[in-house]
Amino acid sequence: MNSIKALLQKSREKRIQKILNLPNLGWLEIGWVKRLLAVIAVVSSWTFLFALFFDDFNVPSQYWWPGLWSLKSWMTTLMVASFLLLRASLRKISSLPDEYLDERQIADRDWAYRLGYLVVRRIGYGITLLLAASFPVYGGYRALVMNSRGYSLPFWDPHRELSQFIADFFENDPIWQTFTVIGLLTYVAYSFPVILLAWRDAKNYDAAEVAAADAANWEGIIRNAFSGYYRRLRRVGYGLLLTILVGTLPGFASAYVWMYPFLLTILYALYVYGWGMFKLAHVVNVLGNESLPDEIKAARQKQDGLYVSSALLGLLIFVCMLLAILFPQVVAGWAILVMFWGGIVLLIIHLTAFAGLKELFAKPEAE
Amino acid sequence: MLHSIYAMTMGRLPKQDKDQIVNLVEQYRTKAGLSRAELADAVGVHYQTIGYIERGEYAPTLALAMRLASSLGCTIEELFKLKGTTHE
Repeated sequence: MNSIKALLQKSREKRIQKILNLPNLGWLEIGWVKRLLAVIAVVSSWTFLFALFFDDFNVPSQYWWPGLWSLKSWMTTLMVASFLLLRASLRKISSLPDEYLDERQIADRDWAYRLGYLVVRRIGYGITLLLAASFPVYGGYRALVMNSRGYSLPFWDPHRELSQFIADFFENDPIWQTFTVIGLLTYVAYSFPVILLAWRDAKNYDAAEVAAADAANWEGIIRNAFSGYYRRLRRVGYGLLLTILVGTLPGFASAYVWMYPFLLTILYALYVYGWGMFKLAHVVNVLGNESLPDEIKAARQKQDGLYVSSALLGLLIFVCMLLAILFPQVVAGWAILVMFWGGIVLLIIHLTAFAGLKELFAKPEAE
Repeated sequence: MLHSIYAMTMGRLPKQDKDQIVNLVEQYRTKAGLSRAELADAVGVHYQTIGYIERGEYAPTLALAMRLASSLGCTIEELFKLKGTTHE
């Protein structure tokens, strides 16, 4: 029992240390970026809710891009992405125990969580009230109809209508719909305090203070960038390895089970690309700081070039992907070819960039 | 609007005008030639907390007020006053 307790304590301390060592997050620290992400989180969750009740607005499929996912899927992506970015930008204040925060940070965090709780409580209260109100409305309307016998009023039964709506809502896929509703409530409970904190924190952005903090911690930022990139890239490798392993199993291969790890790996690789670009942008920005040693500043030129070329190549791959989705018969063949080889070149550019960053620590003059 | 919600629910800011506190932290800090980050390091808080206090958006605890006064080389009374009373 004691060893389990010690293990949990050790893992907690490790997690705290990791959060404490996190560097500033570049543009995620900027006030208007935080507010934009907060707005995206709110707008996307409301749009998701409307899409849920209006069944994706029933827009005929020919008016959508052939490969476009439903509105709900796009909104889910925006919701999750904006929440994760906001959470990353407020990681310290939202995740560290009290003893690592100052009194204002504790008060701010408590305020956001308290207000978040009040909002979620009122949502539950509102839904219950709405459902409860349907009964007297139903009773009153029924009485009205009964008393107006002889008139040819159309019979509208709100109780039955509501029951039918709820039954229809859950009919197609009850497990998925229940999961969606609970997921949305959980999202509100999780994200609302973070959105409030981000909104409030946004006006405290001081570019000069952040730049000074970055310059003081340039080593931590660069180390975090290359070690994080290699760690993530290794995971892509494990995913591909798993795909190959599953693909070699006779039963699994014929049932296309290998497609699942493959698609997940591709999605994760896209995230790693985005993460790499984000980190490189931050590093390029930090390397431009005047107070850094000359040898370190000199590395910026090389990183600038690598960053611009990987950004352009990423854009080219994205355009090819769109073209392949929009005009599959015309461009799919060569677009896939460009995407494949472009991806390989992109990987080499990113590896060169991050290896260059690692080298900064290998040189004695960088110390 | 968010500020009024904050003031209503958080409890750290006074709800009545007569209890509002004005401060001269920014003036004393500038006079001492300190940046927010330096003062924050000296009193053991995040640099943004100094910004909150300077703008009057957060009323520090007595302990933090004492640390601030000590770091800026003045008394608490010189740093903080109730609204309506004047700083000398």
